[in-house]
Amino acid sequence: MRKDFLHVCLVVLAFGLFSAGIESLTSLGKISVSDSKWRWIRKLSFPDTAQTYDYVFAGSSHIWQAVKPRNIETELGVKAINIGRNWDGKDADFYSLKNLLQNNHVKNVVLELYAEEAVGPHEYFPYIVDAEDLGGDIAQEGRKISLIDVLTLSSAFKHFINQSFQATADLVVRAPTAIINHLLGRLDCSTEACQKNDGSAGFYFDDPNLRQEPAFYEKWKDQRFELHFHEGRILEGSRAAFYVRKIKGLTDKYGAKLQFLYVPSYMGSPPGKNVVAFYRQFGPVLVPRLEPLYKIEYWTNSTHLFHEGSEVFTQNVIELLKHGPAASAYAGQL
Amino acid sequence: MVFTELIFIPFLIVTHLAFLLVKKHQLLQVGVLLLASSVFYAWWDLRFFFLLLYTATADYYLGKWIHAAQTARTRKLLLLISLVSNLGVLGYFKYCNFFISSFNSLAHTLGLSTQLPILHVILPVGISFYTFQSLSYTLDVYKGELEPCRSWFKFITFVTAFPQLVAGPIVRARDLLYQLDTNLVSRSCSRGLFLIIYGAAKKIFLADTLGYYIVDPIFASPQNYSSLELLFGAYAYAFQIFCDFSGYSDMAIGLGQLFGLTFPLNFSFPYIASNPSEFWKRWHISLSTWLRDYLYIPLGGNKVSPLRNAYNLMIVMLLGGLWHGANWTFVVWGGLHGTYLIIHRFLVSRILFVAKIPRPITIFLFFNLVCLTWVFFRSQSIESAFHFLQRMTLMTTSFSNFSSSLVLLLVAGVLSHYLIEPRLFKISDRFANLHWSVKGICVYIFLVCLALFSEKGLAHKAFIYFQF
Repeated sequence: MRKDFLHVCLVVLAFGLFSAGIESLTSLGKISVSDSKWRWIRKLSFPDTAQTYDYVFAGSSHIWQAVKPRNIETELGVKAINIGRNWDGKDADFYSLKNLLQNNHVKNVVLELYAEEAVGPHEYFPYIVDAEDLGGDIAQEGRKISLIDVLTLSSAFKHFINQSFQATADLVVRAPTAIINHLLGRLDCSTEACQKNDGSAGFYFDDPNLRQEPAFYEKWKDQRFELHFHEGRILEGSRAAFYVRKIKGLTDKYGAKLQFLYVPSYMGSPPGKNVVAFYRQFGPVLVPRLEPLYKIEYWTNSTHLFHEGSEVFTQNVIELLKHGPAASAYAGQL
Repeated sequence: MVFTELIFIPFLIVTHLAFLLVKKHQLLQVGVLLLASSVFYAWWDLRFFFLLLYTATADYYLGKWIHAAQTARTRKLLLLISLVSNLGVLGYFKYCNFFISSFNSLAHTLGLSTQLPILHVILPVGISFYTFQSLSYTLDVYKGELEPCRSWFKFITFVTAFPQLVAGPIVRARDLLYQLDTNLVSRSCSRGLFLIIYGAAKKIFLADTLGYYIVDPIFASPQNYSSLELLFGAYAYAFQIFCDFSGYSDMAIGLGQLFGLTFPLNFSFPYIASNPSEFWKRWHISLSTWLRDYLYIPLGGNKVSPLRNAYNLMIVMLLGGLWHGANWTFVVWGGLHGTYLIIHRFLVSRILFVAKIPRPITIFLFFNLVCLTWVFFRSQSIESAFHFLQRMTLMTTSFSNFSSSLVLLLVAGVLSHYLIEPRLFKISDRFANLHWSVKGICVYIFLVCLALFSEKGLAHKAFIYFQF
């Protein structure tokens, strides 16, 4: 009876190792992520034939809704895609870019610069982390854990344990869930049902049905923009810093140029000076002029542009891409 | 930490392996349990682990002093200290804001300007369960039904035992302490494993999906649904709360079996009850028996005048309702059950033709009466509960908001209750008799299903009774 428990654990472990092993042999496991937007990104990342992209815009739903790649393609005669997805997080940025750069030819990566960086892992981190990166990620988190954290079960320690195990547990079941998702047709993200059936907050290409949120209008209609410059958080030693360095390593490895694009929230100030200084180490920082963007009709809510607002923002981006960081607003003040 | 969190799996594996390593040393076994239980509770918040320790330690010493007391007056005084200590902690953390806001509402209604400030108090997880558990010890020692525990170490393990710490069953001292005095042998490891998987499946696959797709939308906006859909929502909640709470209890009992501990049954397919008295012998059995033994019987029980008996029933059910949460909806819920009990005891049982009604009909009728109480239990306020019920009386019959797959989901909940629950122990015996490789495959398949379900973000929803 006692040995039963151990034997059951061994069987589960054996299946898990087998699952993690065959996961690497097929792209099914790599695209079986619990979010249709991610699945779309993964499908782009594992194409049958390598594609060439002049510009890849990556980041959260802010950049997804703000930048219209078709406008950029028309104006600049280039090929551009926008792989923004839900929630911010440089860890998610790294994993959304990793295989895309590995399996395609990408010339420029334009990465969203967040006003505030996420402290913890992206909510889909367990699904998107690769086995080969898991050790590095754990080590990066582990460097911050001290004995006091262990004894007091601090938030940092619990995060570290949760993250380590959740990612490992997902690898254990990834292959069979990928096969089942494939058989159920869940991996095909071209259908409306697939797009509606998740919380990815923005899997529509400029949805004409998107409306401004009434509560946003009521709260912000009388607000006026005031330009402020602030220091911002020092990012060195943070989770964001760890992943930006990984992204830089990735772009250097595959010969892509890395740039950072600031996407504001409604009435938001420019990014903090410490934040800009940090990112400048790795590539140009592009900051659009903010005041022209702050017309309430340009925004669906306080964090996302839409329709005409996206057109205006994208035009801004085109100018910045044409003329480089010299055209960036507030250049002398950041 | 919750049983359905992924982190619980390595916690359980490590704890069980450590437990097996020290199988020949009874004291070390208890030590492993205590350490694991401490980590389990402290994982949520270390500060409140010390509150739990305080409650348990106070009752440990009070139990010893009650037993050693020379006079009845001293024994009563020490018991009173235990009651005040336990109920005082429970009252402060759970009810102080409830009473403050009720006082403020009353003052406002009376036109008074007095407004007491609302305190920012965190509700410690499982406080309702462990205070009752610890109180059962001092009460039993006071009644002379239990010898005081000689080891603080074992007493703390009894109170903090992680399988039942945060959401029951409420295990009495007399039922668990003696087990900690023996060498703990997990005789039913496979049955325990089956109960854990079955309980988790009920909670995640049935309770959470019923809640997410049916109950939450309906109770959030009842005005958007027809009377038929509201009835569907009430039925769905009845099975959501059953699957959620009994699922947790199954897991707790299964975990206990892994560590050689026997916990009492907490649910006995309650929706086959045809009257309230039978219902309370089948629903949350550990709480109903606790209230019966430590409140109802000391008040006189049914060995008093009919009027006094009715009073006792109502008091017990009102307090039982209040135990569930700091909201008048729970008091109303308890009051309704108290009313049902009184009516059943003094009227229905005396009406001859009632006994001739076929049992399936009385089961169905009583089930609907229970669903009526669940509307109050689930609603955020009494006003919203009445709004829900008022809309049900409109008798509108459209059913366009829910697909047939959701109806099937409710049917699955119903089938699990009426077909699987009565055969649960036979099924667990069959599972126990399978070869270990087959068991391992079953566990792996369960983990895969869990991963598929977690894609909907449902796998980590807290248990409903976790908030009590």
